[in-house]
Amino acid sequence: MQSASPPLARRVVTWERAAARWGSRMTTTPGRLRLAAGAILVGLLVLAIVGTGALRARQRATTAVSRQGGLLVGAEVIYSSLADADATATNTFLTTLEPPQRRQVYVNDLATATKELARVAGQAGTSNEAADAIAVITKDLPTYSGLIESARANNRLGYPVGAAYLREASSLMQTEVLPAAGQLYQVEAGRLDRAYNSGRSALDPIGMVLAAAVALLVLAGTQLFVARRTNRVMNPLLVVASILTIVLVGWSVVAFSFSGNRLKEAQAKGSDPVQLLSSARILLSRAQVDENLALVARGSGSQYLADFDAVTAELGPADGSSGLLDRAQAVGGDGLVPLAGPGSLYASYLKAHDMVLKAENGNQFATAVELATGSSRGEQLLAATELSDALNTRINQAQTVFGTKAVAATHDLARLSLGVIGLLVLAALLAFLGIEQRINEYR
Amino acid sequence: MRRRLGSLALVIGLTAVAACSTTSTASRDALRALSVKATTTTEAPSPPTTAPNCTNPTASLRPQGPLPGPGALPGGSYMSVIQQRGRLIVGVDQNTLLFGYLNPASGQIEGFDIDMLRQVAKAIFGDDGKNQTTHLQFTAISSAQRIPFVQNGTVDIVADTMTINCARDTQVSFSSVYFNAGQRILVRDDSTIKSSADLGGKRTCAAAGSTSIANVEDVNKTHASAPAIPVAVTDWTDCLVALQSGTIDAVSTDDTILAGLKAQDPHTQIVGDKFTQEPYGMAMKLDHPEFVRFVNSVLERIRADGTWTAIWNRWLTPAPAPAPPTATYRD
Repeated sequence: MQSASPPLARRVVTWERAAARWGSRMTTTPGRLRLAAGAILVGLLVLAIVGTGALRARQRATTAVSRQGGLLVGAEVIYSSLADADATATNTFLTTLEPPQRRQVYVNDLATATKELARVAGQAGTSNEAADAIAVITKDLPTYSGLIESARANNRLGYPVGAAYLREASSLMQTEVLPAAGQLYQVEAGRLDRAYNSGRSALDPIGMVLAAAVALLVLAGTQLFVARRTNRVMNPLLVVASILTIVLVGWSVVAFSFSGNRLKEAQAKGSDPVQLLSSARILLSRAQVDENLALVARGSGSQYLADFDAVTAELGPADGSSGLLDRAQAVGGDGLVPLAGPGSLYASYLKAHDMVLKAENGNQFATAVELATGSSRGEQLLAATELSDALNTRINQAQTVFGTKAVAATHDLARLSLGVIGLLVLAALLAFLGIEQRINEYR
Repeated sequence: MRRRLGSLALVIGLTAVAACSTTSTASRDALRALSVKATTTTEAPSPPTTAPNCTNPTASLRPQGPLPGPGALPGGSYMSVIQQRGRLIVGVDQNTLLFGYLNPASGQIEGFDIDMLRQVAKAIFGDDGKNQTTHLQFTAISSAQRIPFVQNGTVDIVADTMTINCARDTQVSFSSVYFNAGQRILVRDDSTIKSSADLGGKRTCAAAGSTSIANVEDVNKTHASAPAIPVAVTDWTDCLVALQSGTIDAVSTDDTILAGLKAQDPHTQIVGDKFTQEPYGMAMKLDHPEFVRFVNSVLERIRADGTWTAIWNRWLTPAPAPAPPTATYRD
């Protein structure tokens, strides 16, 4: 068998020829034109890689905003339904015989919380902080509901130990479960915030523009070279390829800033109001727990009333001139029931609270309890429920705005991602054809 | 071309810097609002100082003359202040079955201590049939709140299974003894604890600020075995919750309170002899000696006319009513 490789001498000759050919390419016009075509292709390829990379980074961020928004709302629902369950349980305890509809409210609250917990846990991803918080809630929630059932059973028997079980339950909720729910909420809020920032990061479009600038320089250089060598002013195909590249850059800049602006709107008109309203609703539940425990403590609950005052100070004064409710109201929800201000739901809630306090201080304990647990007009429970419902309506509305804007932001980018590939392939093809034309003129 | 690109990049750069405003203030404020805390200042009660020559703390201020009727309360006395106010503000327990507890069925606070206070209200306001609702204002307090609430005037008088002793006698003014209790032990039916001698190494529950928790600590001095482990809680029923969940081994306090706890759980029993004497008195502010003398007059009357025995029978049957506790006085 003969060796498959040629003798050494022949191989050297081949190499020399190749080098000579390469040299002639560099010195002859067609050779240089081929080189230019290669440079254009490389430039456009780099632009395609950088462009799609930037786009995918941005798309990931935008999708993350959508997902995080959902998780933030989930965390908020967990927090507020747990706080609400405790408010209902403590309020029901004030009544001598548990009304079935109040019991149902409590059961529904717990069901909502566990349902959302399962959903958020499934999507919480790799964050240890979120997982820890969820672990605390899932560990303590069965204990909590067990204590509440012990409280009910003993209460039915007329045993004061029922009140001790209720205090134990409420303390577990307030000192362990709700802080964990608060931590989960903070984690999700922080992640949404980071998603927003990377969704609006300037690095992606800047990288894309720089890559495009390089590609355009190569195109322009080739144009100049072709013009000089061939004495033709312009090569139409190369010009079109350049124009396509410029169009692509323009489109990208517009799409990136559009999606960024949509995210800005999603934040300003969506997640910001959701957060303000959610905080308001959570604080409202806490105020209710304070009121109930103050009545349960019967005269020695000054610490609960102090907490009520601190919480309502955050919510703002009844005239709606400042505070969380005023801000939540200012960010949107036109045409809805006003939250704060004269004659608003919050004003009537505070008024109902004052009536309870007045009755209690005036030694009208039974009246105070009736006002606190009653669901007639002007009574505390109804006022609180109406305010809570109004907050819910606004939260849902803001959430819809958020969802619409976040989805629109992803659509902007999805169209661009198709455009990038299409335009670049076309530009590359045109540039290649344009140069081929010139090369052919030398044959 | 290059210049145009340069300016384009510049514009994009500037927009990018403007967009990088990180956390929105709304989001930050919403989160900050959630961590709101009330600024509470808890007054520490003045530390008890045992009077140097306290030998008989149960000796209370002697009643002066016969009990004045509601229409003849001495002017300027604290009783007339209460009468003008229209209600007696009382500090009571709402967790101690039989002595002071909120009846979940009626929504009323009831018990032996409450009936004692009704007698005081009746003496101030007369028997106008309103005592049940209007003339008594209940403030539910924990054991640890009894002394500070009397001292700062939040309540006029406390009747809350409160033991008279030398340390407390310098902080508040006690009425004469209206009940004699003694400390015993409540355990689960399956417990091996039979008396205070068995409490060594056992987690033993009592309310914070009570004499019982101090007595549990003293058990260690009388018994050479391993020290009992005191577990302090807010209210007596918290001890029952802990006993039922198995986080403690025993509850040790006055037999009266234990009887109320046992009534709520048939699987517990009271064991051992009384190992302390706990004379109960009603506590008032040191500034109102005339009020203390007045309350002692009321107690004199109900001891004599059978009211005390009737109240015993109402709450503590089937145990036969003993003779009412004898009052001792100082001038």
